[in-house]
Amino acid sequence: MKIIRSIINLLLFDFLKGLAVTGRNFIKPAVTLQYPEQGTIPKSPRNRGALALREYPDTGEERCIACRLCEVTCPALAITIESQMRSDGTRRTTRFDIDTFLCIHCGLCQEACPVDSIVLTDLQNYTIKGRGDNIMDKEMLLNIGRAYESKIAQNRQDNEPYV
Amino acid sequence: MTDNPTIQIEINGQSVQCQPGESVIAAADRHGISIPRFCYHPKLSVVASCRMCLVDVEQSNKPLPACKTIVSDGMVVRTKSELAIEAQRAIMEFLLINHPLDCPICDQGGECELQDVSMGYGFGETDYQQAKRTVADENLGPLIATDMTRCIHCSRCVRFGDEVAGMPELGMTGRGENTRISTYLKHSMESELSGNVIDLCPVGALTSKPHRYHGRSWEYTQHHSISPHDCVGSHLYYHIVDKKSSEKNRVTRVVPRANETINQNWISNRDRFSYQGLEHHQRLKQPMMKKSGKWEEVTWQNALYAVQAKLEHVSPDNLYGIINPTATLEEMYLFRQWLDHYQCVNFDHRLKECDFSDQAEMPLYPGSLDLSLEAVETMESILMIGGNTRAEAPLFNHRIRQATQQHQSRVHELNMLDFESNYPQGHRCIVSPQQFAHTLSGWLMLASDEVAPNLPDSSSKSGQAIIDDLTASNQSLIVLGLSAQSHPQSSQIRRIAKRLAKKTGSKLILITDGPNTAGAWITGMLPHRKPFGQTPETVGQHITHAWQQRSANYILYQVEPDLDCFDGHLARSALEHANCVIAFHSYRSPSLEQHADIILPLSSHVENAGTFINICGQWQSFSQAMPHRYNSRPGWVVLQKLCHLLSNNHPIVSDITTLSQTINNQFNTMSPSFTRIPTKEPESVKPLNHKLMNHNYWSPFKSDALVRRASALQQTLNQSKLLIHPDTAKQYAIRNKQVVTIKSQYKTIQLPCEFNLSIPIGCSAIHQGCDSVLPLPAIGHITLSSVEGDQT
Repeated sequence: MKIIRSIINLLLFDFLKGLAVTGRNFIKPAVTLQYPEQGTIPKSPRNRGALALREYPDTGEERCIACRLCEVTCPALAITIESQMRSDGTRRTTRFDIDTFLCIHCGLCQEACPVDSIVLTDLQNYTIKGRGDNIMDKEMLLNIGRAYESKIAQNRQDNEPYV
Repeated sequence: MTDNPTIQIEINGQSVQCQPGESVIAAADRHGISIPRFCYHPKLSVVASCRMCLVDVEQSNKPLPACKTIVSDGMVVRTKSELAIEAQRAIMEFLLINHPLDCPICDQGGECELQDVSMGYGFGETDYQQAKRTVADENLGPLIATDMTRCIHCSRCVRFGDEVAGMPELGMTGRGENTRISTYLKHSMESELSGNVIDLCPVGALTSKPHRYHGRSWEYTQHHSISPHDCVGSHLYYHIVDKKSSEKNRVTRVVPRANETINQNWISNRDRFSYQGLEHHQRLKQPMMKKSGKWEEVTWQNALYAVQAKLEHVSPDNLYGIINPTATLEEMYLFRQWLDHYQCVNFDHRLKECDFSDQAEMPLYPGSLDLSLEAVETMESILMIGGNTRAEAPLFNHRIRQATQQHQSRVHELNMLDFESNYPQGHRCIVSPQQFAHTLSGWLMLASDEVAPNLPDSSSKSGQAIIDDLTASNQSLIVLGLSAQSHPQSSQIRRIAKRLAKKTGSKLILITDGPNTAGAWITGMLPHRKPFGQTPETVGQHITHAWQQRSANYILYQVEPDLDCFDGHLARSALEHANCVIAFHSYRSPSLEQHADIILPLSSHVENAGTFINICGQWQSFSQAMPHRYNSRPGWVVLQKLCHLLSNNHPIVSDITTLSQTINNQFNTMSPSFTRIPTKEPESVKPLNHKLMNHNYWSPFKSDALVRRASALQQTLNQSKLLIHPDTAKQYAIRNKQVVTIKSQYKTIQLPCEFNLSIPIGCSAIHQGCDSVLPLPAIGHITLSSVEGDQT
């Protein structure tokens, strides 16, 4: 037995076996993606990415009613709200700031929101380039909401059975 | 404990001692056993309409309302038995049938009794599927916002109006589903205590309008303070939003702090809504100095040196220290110490008075030394002389109303204007300012069984009846209101009132202006007293003399000359010709900007700490509720610095309580040596012989710098009008609703006039409304003429 084993070792059979694996994988199409340069990765509808404020698609009216539940529920104290009566008598925010440095993307604000206004989109790759840019104000958040409204709505619908 | 026999009952297995006649809910509250409730309130009558407090009482086959069930010996009460829980859940479901679930936009959210109770005692589910009821909102004026759909008909607001405010402004109409809380006819809530319904409402049906949608209860930190507006010194809480940067801190609302001896559970609208003035755009942010006619911002150091340089060569006779009684005791004490370095003797704080000839006979401080606010409630008969206590000291008036309600007291009145009162009145006598002191002196003669000299029949008759009533009562009180003290014959009025009190065995109390008049008397903000009632070597000049000077030097502390003084025009013209005016103030008042040379920015009441002494002599300290804003500084810090600049020996204390303690110790050791000069025997007073006198009645919402800048309160004021009796108007050929020219000693203004039968003949009245400047003396003679061709 010992002699047979020595002959096999001498012929580098194991080496070829290993190379065969490499060879096979060399020809096989790759499963790894180069993030973020390459392609899109599949995401759960519950993915907790950048925050956004939504509007009602039919009227264009902002959903937020300044109830401040997100502000009080936020464990990282990332949200700052100031509110006032708007000229039409409704309760609206005059300031809605999220400090993205503080935000831990826990999603409690989304859960607290009674009107589905504040949501976490599946937008993950956003960057902050300057000091002070970490504060996302109301207009920025509404813009994100406007741009991704269809995706947000789709995700929420997909998640509906599991809520 | 009292000697009354107590009853023993058992609540949830815990044995509880109760007074006979007590309700189960009151006994439970005292022992910290929680029973849910909506309509029950310890200060209001019991109606048992909400049924939320149903409890299981042994030997009763159905649950009983704890608020209406009187304890009896051996009673066994269970609040957590199956029966009680079932009842609580059913009631909660019933109340939520029509209550909208709009908590996220409701201002009460987070501090709502309905929210709390439904979390604690509700079932969480309902079978009700039908449409909910909606109710149209009422417009209750600029202070109270309504959302009547949220109302659960507990009727606390209705009972408050009937029982406490004495103005049944709200009522309940309809039955069952159609029940509405409404004002019947459209009008706003005008009671001086109406703001309290905001706190009473257990749901979000009645909320504060200025605070609407501005914040949530959980964001606020609560700071205890004392009201800076009236002589009662109500206890209150400032609710403050603490933001990360102190510049953004602000007071978002004011709520009462219960204190049985002072304000009970209530505060007046003026105390509640004046906080809006704190954010006014006229707040001073930096010390200001006038350089060749232009205002420049300077640093504190430069400003203080400039003040020192200005006062360096001033002669003491020509230096006047005038302070508003809104300043704290500590500020007054240091103000005196600072100006003592310049040998100043001309101090005064009596901005709204004009007659001081009895000043030497005054006690250590006006107000009352032997009367507590609670004792007012036990008085059998009360005589009000002048003034409108209801507006000037609403919580004092509340005590008088309580006296009429609980002890059937009789309240009589001698006044110059017919003010509406909120309690049943005894004898009333409304006379013109000319006749006012004369009538009172006639009454004193009646009390001494002399023949009253030529008093009209009606007033001598009511005078006799009032004096008889005061004499016959065991407990009687004479209240001298503010306008009696701004009367040109006020020193005689005070003397007569003292005499009358002695003759009839009554107590006497003087309603004073501002929160700290007593403090001003104690710290010697007077020309004839040093601190703690000590007599000075030289008696200085009082405020009316001060305003008559030319090229004098004035130090104004929290004074807005044209708005705070008895005769604003006189004060302004004095400042116009002044040599130097140094002002300490929180706001850039236009009159100060025009006449002052240096303005030092003081912190507002919220950013300040100190002590106020109320009319009953209670020392009430408050601490700083939030850090000082902009570059303003608390007055006691600034004054200490100024003292220190003059003399290095002057100690600087960083803690105000040390300072307060020093003052209190000195008060205790020095004021007993105060010798009181006995009151002169009042002479018989002749009526003033002016043909027409005007009573320029200051609205309580114009009383100090802070409240003048509170926007919601200012919206409640009506346009100023000259009220006049048609018979008086006839003499001047004035028609109703006509614009008239009013000429006083110095000034001419035009106002629309209106006929009013309640104004005495020979007198006119102006209820000061929206006009920010009405430069007429509080009580003074005028002439009238109609404006030609005007028919508005």
